[in-house]
Amino acid sequence: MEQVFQITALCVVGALLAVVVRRGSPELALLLTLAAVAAVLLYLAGALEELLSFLTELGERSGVSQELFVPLYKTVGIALVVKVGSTLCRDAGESALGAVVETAGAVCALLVALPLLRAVLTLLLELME
Amino acid sequence: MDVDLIFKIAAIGILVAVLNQLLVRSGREEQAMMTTLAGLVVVLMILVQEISDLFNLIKTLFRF
Amino acid sequence: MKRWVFLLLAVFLLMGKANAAEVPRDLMKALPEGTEDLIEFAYPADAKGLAQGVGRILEEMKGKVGQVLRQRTRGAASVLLVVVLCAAVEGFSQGTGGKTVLFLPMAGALSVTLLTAGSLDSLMGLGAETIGELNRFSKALLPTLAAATAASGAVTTATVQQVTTVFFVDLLLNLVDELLLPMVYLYTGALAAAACLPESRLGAIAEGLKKILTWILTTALLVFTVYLSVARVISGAADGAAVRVTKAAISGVVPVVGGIIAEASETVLVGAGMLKNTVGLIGMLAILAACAYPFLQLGVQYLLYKLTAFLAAAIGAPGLCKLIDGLGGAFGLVLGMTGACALLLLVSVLSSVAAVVP
Repeated sequence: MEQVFQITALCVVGALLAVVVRRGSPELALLLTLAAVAAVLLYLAGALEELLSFLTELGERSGVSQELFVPLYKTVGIALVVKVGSTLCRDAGESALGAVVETAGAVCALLVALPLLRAVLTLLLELME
Repeated sequence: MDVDLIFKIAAIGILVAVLNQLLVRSGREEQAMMTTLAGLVVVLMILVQEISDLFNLIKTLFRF
Repeated sequence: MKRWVFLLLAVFLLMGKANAAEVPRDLMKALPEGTEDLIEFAYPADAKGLAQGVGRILEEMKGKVGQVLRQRTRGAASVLLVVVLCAAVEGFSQGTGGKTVLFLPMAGALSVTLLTAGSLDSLMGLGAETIGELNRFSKALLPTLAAATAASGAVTTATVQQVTTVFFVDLLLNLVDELLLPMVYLYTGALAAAACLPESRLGAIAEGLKKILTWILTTALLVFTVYLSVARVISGAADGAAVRVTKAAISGVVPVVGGIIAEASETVLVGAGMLKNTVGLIGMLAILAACAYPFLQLGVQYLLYKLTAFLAAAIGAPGLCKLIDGLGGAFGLVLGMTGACALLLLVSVLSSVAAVVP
């Protein structure tokens, strides 16, 4: 619970500092934002770990093979990274770069989900026999 | 780590901004540009380690 | 459970006296597994013998209920866990990514189907095996009954009836084996595909398949029942009230084809009043015994899956809920098919015996 407060405080302070720095040097402002983002994410690592281990435990308990759900976790990770990256690019005024990052994210998500699609195909073929 | 880093970078940023203004006012524009670049490089070097840690974390967390 | 007891008690009510007779060796050999020890109840072959045999079957089933329940509940619980997992991942991804993960329905549907496919295979195998056993048994039983009938003097009737009923029974059993069971697999595949792609119209295809299956099964039973009543193979009075009650009970208990089985069961109950020799009694007991365990398994699985679908809807995963519901329906279909075959055999046993009217 306190994590939320601390993180919000950190982000607001970071935003404030970025505004100050932007007036003098916009590049450094962007780097400052990046640093704040990295710090927050590293801070969240513990909570994320707990969530994901709960999900994996659920999966194991139910007896489903983990290969089915790993692509899902990967997709969530990709979505997270892509969201942050593309908004950073747009903040810097490069919306083209932001769009490209999003596209890359979509492509990679599809790639990661290929084993899942293959498993679905095998199942359907087996059932149709 | 977390908050100190932010403040460190903010301090560097403000320092660079102030130096920038000074140099521009006194007419040395190229040196102003170089200070900015120097500040950027320093901050980047500080950040690189953090970013790399972050990506490693995401990799292990989401099981890549 | 109560309804089944009531049904069998009603059968007991309509019983008449029966004669003792020798049981041929081949018949004993062709008995379905596990039913040999019931034969002792067939001597002397009267109402008490049938009731005792039925009571024995019920007792055995009661003993097995706990174990079957535990086994099947484990499977249903893992399905429910998968539903919870999917809901959690969806919430997680909505928080971080900002939009739902594209392949979540696919992963969920896939895991649920994989978890069920194991039990589907075993239960369908159980149903198919039971139907096969009934088929084999009927091939030995019906000629024996016809011989007994012929021995008591009604030669022509015996042959004609026997030939037609054997023909019908064979036809239906082959239909079930070749066509309907593979169709159940197809139905499961369509269900899984529909759950993977929630926006598509594959759900309609799955529904259509189920309707076709039910229609084929119902029609086959209907044709057979109509033939029997037209040929007046079984005639006699039956206690109206008991028949009505049992009809209501059956249509309530058996899913999917309950209605038509209830209609056909009237014929069974009427004919049961004419069960007049040992062989017929053995046949009836053996058929009931062979079906009891598969019925128990399939029925429990069907109920559990309907319950799990309800819980999944409560957790809030509509696509998976529909999938689980449909899978429960598939189990119900197999149950209906086995029930229909058993009923058909019972009717044919009774029709072969019916000619023995003093």
